[in-house]
Amino acid sequence: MNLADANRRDFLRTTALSAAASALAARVSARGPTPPGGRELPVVPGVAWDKAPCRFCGTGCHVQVGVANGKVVAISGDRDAEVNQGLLCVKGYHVGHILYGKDRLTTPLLRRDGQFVPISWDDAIDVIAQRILAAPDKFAFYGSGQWTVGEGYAANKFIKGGLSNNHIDPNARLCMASAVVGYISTYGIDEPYNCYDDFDHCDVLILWGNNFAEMHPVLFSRFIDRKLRGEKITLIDLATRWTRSSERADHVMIFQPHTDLAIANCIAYQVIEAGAVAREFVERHCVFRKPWKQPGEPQTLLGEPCGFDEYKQLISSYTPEAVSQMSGLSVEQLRLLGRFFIDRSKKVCSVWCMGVNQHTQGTAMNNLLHAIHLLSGHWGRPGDGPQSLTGQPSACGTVREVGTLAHGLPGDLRVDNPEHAASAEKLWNLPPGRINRKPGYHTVLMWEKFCTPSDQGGDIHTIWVQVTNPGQSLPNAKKLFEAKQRLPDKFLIVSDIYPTTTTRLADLILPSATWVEKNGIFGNSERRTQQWFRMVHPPGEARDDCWQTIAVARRLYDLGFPGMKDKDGKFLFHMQDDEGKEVEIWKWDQYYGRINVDERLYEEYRPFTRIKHKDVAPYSELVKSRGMRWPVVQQPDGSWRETRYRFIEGMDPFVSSGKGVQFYYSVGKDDRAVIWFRPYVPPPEAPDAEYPFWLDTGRVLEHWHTATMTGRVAVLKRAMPAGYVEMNREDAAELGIRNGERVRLHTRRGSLELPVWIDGRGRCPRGHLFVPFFDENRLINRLTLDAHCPFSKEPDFKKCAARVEKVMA
Amino acid sequence: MMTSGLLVCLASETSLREQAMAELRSCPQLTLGEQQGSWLTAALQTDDAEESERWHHWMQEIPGVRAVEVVFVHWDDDEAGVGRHEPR
Ligand code: SF4
Repeated sequence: MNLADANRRDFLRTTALSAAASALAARVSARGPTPPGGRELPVVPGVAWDKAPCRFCGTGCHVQVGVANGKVVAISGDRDAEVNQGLLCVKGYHVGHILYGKDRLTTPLLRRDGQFVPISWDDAIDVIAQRILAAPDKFAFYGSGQWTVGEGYAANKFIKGGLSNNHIDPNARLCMASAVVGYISTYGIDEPYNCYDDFDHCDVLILWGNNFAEMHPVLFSRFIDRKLRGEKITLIDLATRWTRSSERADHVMIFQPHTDLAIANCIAYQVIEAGAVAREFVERHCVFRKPWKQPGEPQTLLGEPCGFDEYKQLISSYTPEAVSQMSGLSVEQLRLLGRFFIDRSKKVCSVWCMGVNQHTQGTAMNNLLHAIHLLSGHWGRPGDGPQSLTGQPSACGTVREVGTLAHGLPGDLRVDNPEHAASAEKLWNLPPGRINRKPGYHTVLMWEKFCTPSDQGGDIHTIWVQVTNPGQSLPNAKKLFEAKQRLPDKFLIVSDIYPTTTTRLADLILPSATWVEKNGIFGNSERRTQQWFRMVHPPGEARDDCWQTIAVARRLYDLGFPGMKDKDGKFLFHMQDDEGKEVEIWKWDQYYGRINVDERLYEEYRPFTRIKHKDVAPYSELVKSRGMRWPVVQQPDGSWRETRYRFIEGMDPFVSSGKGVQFYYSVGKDDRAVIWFRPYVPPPEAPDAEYPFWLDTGRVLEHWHTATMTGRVAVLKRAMPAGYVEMNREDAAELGIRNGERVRLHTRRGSLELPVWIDGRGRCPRGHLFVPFFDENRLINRLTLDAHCPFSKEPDFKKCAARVEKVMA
Repeated sequence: MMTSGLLVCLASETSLREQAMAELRSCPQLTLGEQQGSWLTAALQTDDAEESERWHHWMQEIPGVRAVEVVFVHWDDDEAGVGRHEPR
């Protein structure tokens, strides 16, 4: 090593130590933002730093990205970020590497005679435009909770304001649609009223089917740090298998899959039994509803009103003794859960993610979690309430807020609400009636229609996929994805950064820019809108997804497609510079030029957010901050204030004076939240003699979802190289299976060979299997069920029946 | 070369913690920094990501170490990037 190298090595070592010392200062003190100017970034010669949210999960940690010579070369946790206070998880500190996998897509590729051939962007745009022109009503967009706000907004405007067909839905349908419908049917409006501050203030944290330690590790640390500082707090892991979260829990309660509905009802039963209903709060701020007129009728989303006495009667069969029989929890465990809700001196926070949402009763289960908190009065104080989390970085910001769902419009508006559609037409300067009032196809239906022959009702003929990998993440993939192979008239367009399971069946592949290769905005799980700037250039011909959408829109405009004009004949994405000259943003060399397209789209979108009091912050405020939680409202002194807790006077600027609590978009237009009764309903498929195991699927710490990105990061890939099946030790012994041996898993939809992992990362109870879905060579979603919640249309990836067969060597 | 800034969380029992400190001091790639309560700062420098990962695991296995958190990473090359998953 020469002297320069040695000096550099010393220098970097000192830098790393001082970065760690800064983080230490944040960890040992109580949480709170670093005072302005109190943060020092690691100083590395030649490295320029800028902020960005992490590319991965919905936690929304902020990183500082170090760039030298046009490449990302360093990552540091951002101490100015309230969410993570400088901390990152294993994925976060390797996030820079996702840009540099060796097989980045760098040129558009068209399938010709079974082979992919490079084509120009101009030709690629033309191919898409011609497919749309041939049948605009049969074209669909399949997007993502990883779309930036601008990307989702442009796609939504393109489909709803341009093509008027509403066939746009995101992969977030597969992960948080039940939470959306749960919020809407309880409070009348989507998204959590509370925020991550709850993890700093709760006395008891209950994980409802949520492996918090692996899925949201930074938030988990935020809670667990309090224990390390000596605070007396309790962690309850209510789960169907033992995970890393269980290791840190005070009580681990393993229940039978699908019986969470009964457990939640049992808590309500105990609150009533103990006379612990928060009478004043409930009488002033809540109403009760049941899901049907009479038991036995089909459940409906808005159900029927009922009184407390009827609710009490409906809940009366969910005694701890009865629910113990169903759930496998002991009466003592159920009583312990009940006591947490009965005792109002302790603050109880319930948190959930996929375990509750990916459920054929997902909406019902979300309703019940809100219900037990409202009923018991564990609602509204910081640390005392129910909170759902999301898995993707902008499932909230882009999907829920921008409305990239088949029924949605920006600002949580709906296409089938005439007033909403008219507002959108006005804001987009469209002729009245341009927005189709009929919702488009939700995810499962969209793919089913795409994979059905055209002459048998398969009326989606082209899908454009952006920023997601449905070939690996859709349930029952043989039916909903692979069947496309046999339908030569169907056309699949995929915009992505790497080859994926989805690109294998694509007809046209478009190379995309990602993360800090483009300007962007995400919205995390706690209503926090986060902005970043482009820091490096994408490789080769890769370009922003948003530009791709706008370029196709423009080609359609040039070809005379009327939908791509507003009512004055201007291009749907018309933008002009400060001098009033039109900027030709459909030309790549002008996309990053005189104007910031991302900012323009965001500012165009902002007025939508004011319609339902979800006011997002101005772009200029986002630039200065590490995100702001909406509603963000300007104060008399000109500053902008974010909102930590909605619906609560003094915190939410839209609550009327003297109301205390006001659910101002309530279901019954009476300012009250709904306490739902939702009965236990059996699952559509359960273990039986032929398929005796429960099969559960999910994620692991090292890989983010289908591992398209994390699978390219050597350190993460080595840490978790391949898929496996977790199996109970005694079950394995009974079948003569040893750790590491291969088994063939069968469900009614297919089979898959996997190595067995016994007592590894997680531990299954008897009769239960778990398979992660990150491995593209072991596609577990060929075996999963596409049955879904009747209201949210979110499939249940967590439960189906399976059989295990030992593979003989 | 890969340089990481680490926060190591140590066990609260004194003997376990001292044992852990002795083990950590034996790693030539690790420079220990300031310690406050259960927390210890450290810098890890290795030739590549794989070696870094090995030491990381080694640290996590030490009985008196409760957690190892990374707060800063700098790398000199793009060896960390790999290609498509190979068929297995
Ligand atoms: S917790 Fe999520 S957002 Fe935070 S660093 Fe990890 S992957 Fe990124």
